Amino acid sequence: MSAPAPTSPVATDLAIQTSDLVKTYGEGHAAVTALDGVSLEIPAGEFVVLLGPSGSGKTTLLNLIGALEAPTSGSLKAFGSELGELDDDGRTAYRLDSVGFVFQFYNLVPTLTARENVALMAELTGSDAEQRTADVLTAVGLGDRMDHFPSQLSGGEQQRVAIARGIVKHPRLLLCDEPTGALDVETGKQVLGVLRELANGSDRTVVIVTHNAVIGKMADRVIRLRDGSVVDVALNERVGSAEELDW
Amino acid sequence: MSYLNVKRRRDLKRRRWQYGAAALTIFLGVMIFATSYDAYRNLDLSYRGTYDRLAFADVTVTGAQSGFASDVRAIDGVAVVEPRVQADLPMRVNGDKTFIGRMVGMPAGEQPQINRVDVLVGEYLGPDSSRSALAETHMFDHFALQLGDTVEYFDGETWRGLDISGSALSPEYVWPARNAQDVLSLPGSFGVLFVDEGVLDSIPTPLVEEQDLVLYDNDVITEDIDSAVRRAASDANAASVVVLADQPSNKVLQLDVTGFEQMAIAFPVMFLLAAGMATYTLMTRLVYQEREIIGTLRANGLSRREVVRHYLSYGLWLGGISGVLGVVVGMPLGWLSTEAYTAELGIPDTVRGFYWTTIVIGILFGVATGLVSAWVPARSASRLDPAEAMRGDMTAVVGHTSLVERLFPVVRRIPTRWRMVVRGIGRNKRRSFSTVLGVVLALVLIMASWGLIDSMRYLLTRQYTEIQHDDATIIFDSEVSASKVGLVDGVPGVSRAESVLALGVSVKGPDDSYTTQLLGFDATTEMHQFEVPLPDQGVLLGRTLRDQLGLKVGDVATISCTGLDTTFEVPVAGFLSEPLGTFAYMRKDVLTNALAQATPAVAEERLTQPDSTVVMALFDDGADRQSVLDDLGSVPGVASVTDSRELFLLVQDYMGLFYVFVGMMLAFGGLLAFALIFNTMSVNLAERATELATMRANGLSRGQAARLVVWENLLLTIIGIPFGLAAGYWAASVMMASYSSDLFVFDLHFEPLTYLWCALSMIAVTLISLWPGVRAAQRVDIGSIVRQRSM
Ligand SMILES: Nc1ncnc2c1ncn2[C@@H]1O[C@H](COP(=O)(O)OP(=O)(O)OP(=O)(O)O)[C@@H](O)[C@H]1O
Ligand SMILES: [Mg+2]
Repeated sequence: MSAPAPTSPVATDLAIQTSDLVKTYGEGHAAVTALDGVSLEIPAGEFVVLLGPSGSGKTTLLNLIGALEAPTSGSLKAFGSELGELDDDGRTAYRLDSVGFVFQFYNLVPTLTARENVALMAELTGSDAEQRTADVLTAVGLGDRMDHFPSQLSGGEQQRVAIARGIVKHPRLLLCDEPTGALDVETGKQVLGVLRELANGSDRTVVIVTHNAVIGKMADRVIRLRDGSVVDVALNERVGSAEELDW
Repeated sequence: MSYLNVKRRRDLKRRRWQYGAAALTIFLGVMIFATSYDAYRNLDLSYRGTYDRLAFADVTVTGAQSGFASDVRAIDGVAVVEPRVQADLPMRVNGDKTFIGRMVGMPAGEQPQINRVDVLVGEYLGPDSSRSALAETHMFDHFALQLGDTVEYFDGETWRGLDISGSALSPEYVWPARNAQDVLSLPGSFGVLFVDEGVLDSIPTPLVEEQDLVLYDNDVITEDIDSAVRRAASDANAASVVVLADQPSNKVLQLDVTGFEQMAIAFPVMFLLAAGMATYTLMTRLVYQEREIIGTLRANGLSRREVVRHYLSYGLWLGGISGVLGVVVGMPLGWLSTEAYTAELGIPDTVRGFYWTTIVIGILFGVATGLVSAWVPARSASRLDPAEAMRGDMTAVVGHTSLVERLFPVVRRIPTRWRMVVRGIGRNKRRSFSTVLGVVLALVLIMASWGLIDSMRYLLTRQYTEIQHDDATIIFDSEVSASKVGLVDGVPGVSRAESVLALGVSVKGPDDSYTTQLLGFDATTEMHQFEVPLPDQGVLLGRTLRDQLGLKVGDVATISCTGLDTTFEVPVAGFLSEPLGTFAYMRKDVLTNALAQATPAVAEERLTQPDSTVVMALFDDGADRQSVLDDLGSVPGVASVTDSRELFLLVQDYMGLFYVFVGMMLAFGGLLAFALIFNTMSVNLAERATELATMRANGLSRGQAARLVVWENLLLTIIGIPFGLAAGYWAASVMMASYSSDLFVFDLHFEPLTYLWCALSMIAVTLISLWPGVRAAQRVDIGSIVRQRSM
């Protein structure tokens, strides 16, 4: 048997496909090449961890995939369509339709309760907002804290509200930039557990950026970046659970 | 520490538009202060200079018995008492239309000791000048008189001519007002000739007023001498006593001085308040943003005092620079406005003082505004606990349901983004207050000026459509018989003519006396509409006399008729709130009766003389005014025709100009609101940048994000509008009250649409103020904001 091609255990459609992706900031002498010819494929439904040292281009790649920024050159396809060709409205529509974002700092609206922060996004995407809001908050384990304001919630709880906000519109892609960066180990594990759960048994693709290599153990696929290039893509034979992690 | 200075410079530069808006507001406040305060002082001194130089009378007493002069001369503080004669007579220039002018007797050969004149053209009346006259400068200019031109006057029997020998400026007529009832005399409908007093000898005595002019010593307490002179005048049965403060020309000019004085106070207060609030908002944000830096510096040994000093220095720079610039620009503007003003009114003495106090106060205002607004943020910066500040995880905003939602549970059902808008208001109460304050201050400015225009317009409309209906007043050259009234009535275009008694009187109550006109109308008159029917007993008086004379309904007033040399008593039947001038009214038959029983009695026939009876005419609708007026002028025996509505029509023509003034205030008000709303919005957006960027990352569109913040601020504006309208109404009414007197009664009036326009203008200003912030927020690079941590 020849070496197995890196295929997803759940689905074979590609969520993301990039080739020779370049992102440069600034011009002339001040130009910084954050991504320097990245080619990779992320099949739909996988739980992917993006690893790399500080400044290696992780956030840049995630922002490109989420269409927060436009590539300088190269191709970036999400679910088959070229993101580089989208105008601003098209990028907003793509994000609304397909992307959920979670950041290191939860960035909740402090004047809205957990429920309202989630409902705000739910209302932008079709009917049934109330039900969907309650469902996702329950799914992230906050069924009993829904009417608390951010200032009344712990960091981990706020991050789970942020995750709920990211997934309430049922995006095909959930992008998380250092979701555990501001959390302690135990709380971090809880949050990762929730995220892992979201990818399991659905065709939702979850991409997590981190510089914590340990988190790679619970991924289907681990992509390593260094100086703006992909240095390694590894598929995990055995996917660990969040509780097993230790750092 | 010089690096702290570098930091301050860069901080100020980074937020240059915001600090710039605050600085501009301070600058404007100080500039307007310097301009109007200097203008106020210069104007006051300019008048005084002219008054002193020309020995403007401190009191003018009319119709006192002989012996009065020597009594007054004995009063301590009285410098000079001088007799004078004057007469109001029909006049005409070059056969032009006839008007009632005034002839003032002057000693020939040398100027009088009191009420001297500046001869601007020609020469003062020579020893042999019984056929020449100096025209008061407004008259000289209006009729474009040349030396040697002839002005005719009607001496009671025939028209006589006088040669114009020059143009003269008199302190009595800097503002050319005939009397307190008629301060808005139009050029060409009034004029003063200064003539050899001998000329007035040939005029029938009832037409001639004998006056005593009184001049006080310098540096005396005017009020004390005023009351002594009043007592003496009362003892001498004087018909009228007019002190300098009540002299019509002076009183009108004082309104302008008051205007500048009010401006010198009100404008800076509002602008500096707004600037202070804007600076405070910025500084509070700065300190909040830098709490970790402050904590670290403090932990490394920077003292509290140095922290306070550092943040105070922002206010010092801001206020100091703006204050200095404000004074530098404002003072020359003050000189310019004094010059423009004195030139416009022809005041010969233009004082252009240099006041150190203006400089000191102006700069102090600026510096104090900066320091006071930076003080609270600076102090809170110095009180930060270094350990806590460095951790930097103090949750800034504590969410809670808003009051509105608690009061109206329905609100909890509206879409979440609207709830977010509602709660945004409670998010930072000081900032919300700042926006509301901007709206309120702007509305105060706008409404105070707009109220002035609306009220003035309403005053004139009321006077000329609801009260005074007559189109023309006709004076005959001899006895006014029923047939003469018929002649007027017969002129094509005249729908009705009535004879009306018009007597120069002095009304006396327990507290004071007041010189005015007593008009006697038929009970069925159509010339004048009264709020209460003309009583069959007693007199109706303008309401300002209630307080001024100390009279109330039912009291008996003493009325002295200047021309008829008689006095009678009459009960006060009521007070009228007529806006223009303060008059006395009686039914014609009641007045005739009262005079028949007066001491000495006046026969009914005497009253038909043209000095007591005029004819008023109503025109047909749509009649050609000018041709009817011309036709009336050629009715045999008519000495003069006065267009009663000329002023009203003229003001209508100038309305556009008044709205330019409102527009200017709108610009100032808009600037005030802009400085506050723009800064508040900038700070608000800075605080929410990451929160909004995260939502944008999750699919919120640019438009949706913009609408959220715009609506939040609009809602604050909408909340501010009713407060602003109320405060503006109050400010306008205070201003109106300060302008009201016996000359005009300004009842504050707003057209309903004015409120709407004011409110709409505030919404427009808000949208303009939000525009730069929203634009910047939309251009923002979400990708780089989400890389930063939330602030
Ligand atoms: N707006 C920008 N302008 C210039 N350079 C930028 C900009 N944003 C990112 N960079 C640079 O691009 C490179 C990659 O940045 P990126 O944020 O993707 O790194 P990262 O891998 O996420 O690092 P970290 O783990 O520290 O978050 C860095 O060298 C960074 O300095
Ligand atoms: Mg990163």
